Amino acid sequence: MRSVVVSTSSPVASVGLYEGTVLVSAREERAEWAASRASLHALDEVLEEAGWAARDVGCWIADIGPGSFTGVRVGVMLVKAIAFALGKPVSGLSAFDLIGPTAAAIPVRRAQYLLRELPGEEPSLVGEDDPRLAAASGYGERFEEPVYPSAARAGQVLAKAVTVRPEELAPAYMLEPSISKPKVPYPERRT
Amino acid sequence: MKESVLHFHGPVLGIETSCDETSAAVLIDGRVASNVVNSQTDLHMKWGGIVPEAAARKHIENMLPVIEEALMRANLSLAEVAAVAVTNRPGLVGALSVGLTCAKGIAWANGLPLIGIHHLEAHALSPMMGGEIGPPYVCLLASGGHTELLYVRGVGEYSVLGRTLDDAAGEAFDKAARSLGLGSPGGPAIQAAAESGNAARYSLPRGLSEPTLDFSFSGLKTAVARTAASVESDADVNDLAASFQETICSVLAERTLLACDVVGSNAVSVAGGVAANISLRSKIKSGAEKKQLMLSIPPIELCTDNAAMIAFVGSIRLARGERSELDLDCVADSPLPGEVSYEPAFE
Repeated sequence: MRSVVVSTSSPVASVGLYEGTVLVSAREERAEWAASRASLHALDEVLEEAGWAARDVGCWIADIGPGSFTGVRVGVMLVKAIAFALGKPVSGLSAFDLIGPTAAAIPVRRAQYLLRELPGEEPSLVGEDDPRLAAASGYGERFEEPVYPSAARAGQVLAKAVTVRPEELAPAYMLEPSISKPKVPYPERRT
Repeated sequence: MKESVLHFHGPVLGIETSCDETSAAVLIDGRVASNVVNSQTDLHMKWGGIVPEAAARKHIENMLPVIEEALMRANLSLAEVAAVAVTNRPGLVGALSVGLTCAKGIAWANGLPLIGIHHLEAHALSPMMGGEIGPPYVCLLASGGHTELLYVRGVGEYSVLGRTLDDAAGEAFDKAARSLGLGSPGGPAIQAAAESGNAARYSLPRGLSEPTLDFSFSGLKTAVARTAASVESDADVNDLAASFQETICSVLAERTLLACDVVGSNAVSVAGGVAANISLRSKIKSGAEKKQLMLSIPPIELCTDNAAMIAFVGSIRLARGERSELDLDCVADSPLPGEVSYEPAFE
């Protein structure tokens, strides 16, 4: 089956076209604040390069995070909308898996990382000085040679991707938004 | 003279996610075939205000089901949609990006024209949706984030006659409701409490020296907060809510009608979420009758944020041949397209 993977959870947006688990074509571009624009341009290019039409794609796959909250949402929403319009199923891949089958770290807040030590394990929140980060691949200030999640690295995990309807796919933020609590509790609506 | 507007031939899907309403609508030849709004009011109530990240998260959860519902109510399939109109400015960027990305995805996949719409322009033109009036007309645009008096001379031709110098009217409702312990959102809460209150009991400040077409509600808000600290009974609360509502609605209505005199308009309208307030609607209506002005106030469901107005403006702009590129961005703050300022001269 032909599938397309879109990753926008990090500052680098990427798309990859797959025939089964074999990568056919891919693009990546640094695209802070322009993830949907970069992804659509990249999709036009790789589809043309492969000689595929969007309707030939059997499954649309998104990087569901974790990563930039907005970036994750853009990729997931884009994949959901395209698949919805074309009547095709969708799937989601972890941003950790798109970094690689190794220990992977993703910056989430100031001086903090989500670290997944082994594929399949639950990630943990660690500080930037955590020694386990030394053995990990990833991005953020801690990493001199950053490795961003890439749609071109999806081949190894595509086989385990579970398809769902576009309406069902959701981001995996892994962190709640930072919301300051009101100094005075807000009153309930009087009835 | 009423300007007739041309509409895009074919169903237009409208998408609106600028704040805390996820909305989708279908417009066919200028007629609203469906308008679905999923409100997040209950979600944000516990925080006493809209949390942008929480709003964006809810939008992505709601977006496709809301579109499906809008298509179903319009008895249409997505394949039959001919164009997509989406709010891309102004608003909460995280919230806007969900609707905009969805619209781009659908437009890209199905090869449809896309048009980005200014949220406030859609409110300003929403009084035309019923067909009762057309430009030129004076429009009071009052919502939680904006309060402006516009002279709508045509589509894309807007003179700003006046605007708030501090709080928006809807924001003043929210803050007054909070001071009174009435809950959120403030507009409906104040209105409900005011029903059994005595509007003449408290004398509250009207803001700027008159005549003016600008607004200032910070003094009114502070006066309510100070007075609220000494109220003792539910009856006091209701009286203060009624006095607040009477003051702010009088100011809004009187300046709107004054604006008609200033520019010589024979048509008036009110739009935006605050236009759902019954007292304001009543004051504008009776003032328009006295001055023999043509009046159009959209039904309440078209005053609060909705995608039908986005599809409406999208349909007009698409019919003019306007299109947006797929690299369209969302923008937090943006002037109305074709906006010019206007210095009112008072006799």
